Amino acid sequence: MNIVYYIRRIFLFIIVIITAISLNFFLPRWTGQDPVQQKIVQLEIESGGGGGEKSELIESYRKKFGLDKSLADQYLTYVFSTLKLDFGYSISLYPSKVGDLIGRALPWTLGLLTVSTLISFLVGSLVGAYLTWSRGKIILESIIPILFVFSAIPFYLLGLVLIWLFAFELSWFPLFGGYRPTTIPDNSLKFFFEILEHSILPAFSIILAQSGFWALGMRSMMVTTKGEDYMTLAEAKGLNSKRIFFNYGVRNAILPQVTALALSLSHIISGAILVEIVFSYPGIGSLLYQGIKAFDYFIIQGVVFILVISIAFSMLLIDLIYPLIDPRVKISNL
Amino acid sequence: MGTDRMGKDVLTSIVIGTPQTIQIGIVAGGIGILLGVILGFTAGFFGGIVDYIIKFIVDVFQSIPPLVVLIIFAISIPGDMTILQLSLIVGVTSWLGPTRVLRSQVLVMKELNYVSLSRFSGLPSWKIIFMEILPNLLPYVMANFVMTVAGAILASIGIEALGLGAFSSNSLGMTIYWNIWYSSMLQGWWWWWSPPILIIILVFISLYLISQGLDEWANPRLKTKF
Repeated sequence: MNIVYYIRRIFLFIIVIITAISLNFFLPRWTGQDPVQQKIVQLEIESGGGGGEKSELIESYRKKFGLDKSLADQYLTYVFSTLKLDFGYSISLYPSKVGDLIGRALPWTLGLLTVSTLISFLVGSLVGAYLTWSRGKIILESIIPILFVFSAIPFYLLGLVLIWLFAFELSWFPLFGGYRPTTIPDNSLKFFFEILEHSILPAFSIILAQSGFWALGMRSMMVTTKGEDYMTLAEAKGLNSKRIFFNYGVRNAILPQVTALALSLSHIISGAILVEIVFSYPGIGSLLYQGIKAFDYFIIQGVVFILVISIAFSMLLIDLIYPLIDPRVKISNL
Repeated sequence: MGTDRMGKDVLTSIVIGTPQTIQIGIVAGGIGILLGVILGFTAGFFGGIVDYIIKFIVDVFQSIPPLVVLIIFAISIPGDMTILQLSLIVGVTSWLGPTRVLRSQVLVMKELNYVSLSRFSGLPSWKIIFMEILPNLLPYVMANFVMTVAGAILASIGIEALGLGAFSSNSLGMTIYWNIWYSSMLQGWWWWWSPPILIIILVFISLYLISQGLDEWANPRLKTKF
């Protein structure tokens, strides 16, 4: 049954990508939005309305962005160019290409997300495991509702509070951005530390909000693991409790958490986008925000597509690797 | 509580805005749970190919972040959004959770003796669904509705904070949007940004407690502390 599962999973991945592209293409057109017209009108308003030959300008724009072909033509062009990661030119930041803008922003987001998700996954899981291990301590029991509240607060709201507390009131950390506006990026160690310093607060707000979620998940997994026969055996053998905790408990309970990671990935990334906006961090989220503010259709579509493809791909990866690391999963009943 | 950057009274905008936010949540949650009940019941009860198709659709949308679908919807709406439009698009994107949960609940219910009995006695399917399964699943549906409302509120605040909300409204999400716009936390205007966050947290805790209570009502054996 192995091969059938893999084929089904890859088929699902392809369908997801196509669905996203189609939504991205048809919804705005279905409601009759004309991005170019809107942009020109906006430019007119901003420049105080020069009058002049608007229609010609609009025509030339349309030709440039291929909006004058038939719908089917447009769709096919759109699908193929999107799959080649070519999102056309940005309207508001013309002549920059959307692909280049995304390429510049992506490393920031990837760095921030990977590090903070890994830290919160490990810290949260350990805290959750420890909570089950030492039952009956009132202090620990009362942490759980607090953890729940923290996991329910959106990351970016926590970010707002953290900025005010640590950056504004205490001035421990920089107020915004990925590095100081006055520095020129280079490869020196000094610049690296500057990036680090700027990323602590955004990362911390993601970690704080996420850890609660992982702790709660791990706690319920540990409760199940504790009841297993091999745990009783380990105790009966007289192994020291530290070894039982790590080698017998955590090791078995942490695997299903990986599946939860795949499922909550979209939630994490949505939160991280908003965190970036709050901190003006130069990643994908801020780029999206700029696109929305300027109503730059192509930036929005490009960012949206990148988000979809990266999430779908990560989920595919986790789903394909998971049966290899957890032999208890029978692929046939997935 | 002072006034905000535009000279509006903070207390008043919170008093007006909180019901608006909750209203968005309830309308959207209602749409979500309705779709969830329809799809989940259909999938769970009829099984087979119908179940497979619905499960596949759920899997597809599972991989697309709701926020992304919301953004596409929001930029597709011409002109300024109204609160109702916002509730609608959030509702259309919040059917995943309820569909999944209710499907598995129906699958369990279907195997119970009294349902099998009524099947063998030749009751039509719609009668079994409406007379046997739905009344018994009602507490689950209610508890799920509360959690869907919570999720919808979260989603709506997110989309508003991005600047794609209903600008005419005073909802908590819009207040947060303006706070980010004027970066009020860098100006130290704590009296403007703290109330909406506090209210959001309070709303969440209340919804969580309500859903816990409904869960216990549905399943008295659950009587746990948290």
